[in-house]
Amino acid sequence: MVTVLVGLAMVMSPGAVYAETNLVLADDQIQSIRDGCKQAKSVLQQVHSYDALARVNSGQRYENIANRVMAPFISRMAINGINTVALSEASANFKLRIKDFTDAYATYEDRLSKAIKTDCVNHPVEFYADILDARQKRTLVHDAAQQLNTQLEKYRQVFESVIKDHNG
Amino acid sequence: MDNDKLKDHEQETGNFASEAVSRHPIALLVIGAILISITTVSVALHLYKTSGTAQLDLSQPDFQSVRDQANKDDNIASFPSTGELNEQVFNDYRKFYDLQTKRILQNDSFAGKSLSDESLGFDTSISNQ
Repeated sequence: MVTVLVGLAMVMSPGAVYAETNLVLADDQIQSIRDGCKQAKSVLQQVHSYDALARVNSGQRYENIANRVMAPFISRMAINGINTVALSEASANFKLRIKDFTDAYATYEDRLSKAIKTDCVNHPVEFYADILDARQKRTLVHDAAQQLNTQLEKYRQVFESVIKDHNG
Repeated sequence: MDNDKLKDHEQETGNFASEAVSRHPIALLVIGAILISITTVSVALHLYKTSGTAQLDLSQPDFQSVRDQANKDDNIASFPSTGELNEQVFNDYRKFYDLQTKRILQNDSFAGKSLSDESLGFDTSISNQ
């Protein structure tokens, strides 16, 4: 009985509650989402396209650096008898970060596509919850890209240190 | 007695099937070919979606507006993986590495507030609760 009453109170009092995220919105906020949802969907479509482009371009560059910049040089150093352990480790970490970036983008794209497909007129709260989810996942993609940048700088530092040891 | 009936029924069914094959071989061949192609196309589409290829496929109609902006000049040559190593080679590698990483380090992808309430045209008080 208590559960039923609490449930009813949650549904009746604030505008609506979205079960998966416990998102509570007032009626005027729901109306605001409903009113602007067509425009929002158009923006989401644009973001979807430009992010796909950024993913393709960035991914191609990351792969090029791993396979055409790092790998051949490490191989050349090994052939010349120089210790490549530190550089190989830095390169392996970079490849791991590429995998993290790829996975983070796949999750984000999945959530964004879900938001685009959600019926925002009849399910505005669910639509907004999907946007919040996609927004959070997009931040994770950005973080993964930043990690890759950090790893690129780290590889450069390791390179300088290996050369210094070799010359010294 | 029941076993005999069952055997008769199986024989009849078998005869019917072989009769159908001998009467309509072309029709059955076409139906078989259609079933095989539906199965293989379904498997291919499933793999296309689950492998993540669909997410990167800029040839889709949704990505028509950005398709032309995909990198076409990124097919860079590899740094030579053989040869001696000296100060000149190290300097060449430094330049090569910096050139290739420069574009990535300058490009702050996925930053910004593209999905913010403001960008989407919602009342900004929604997310400030």
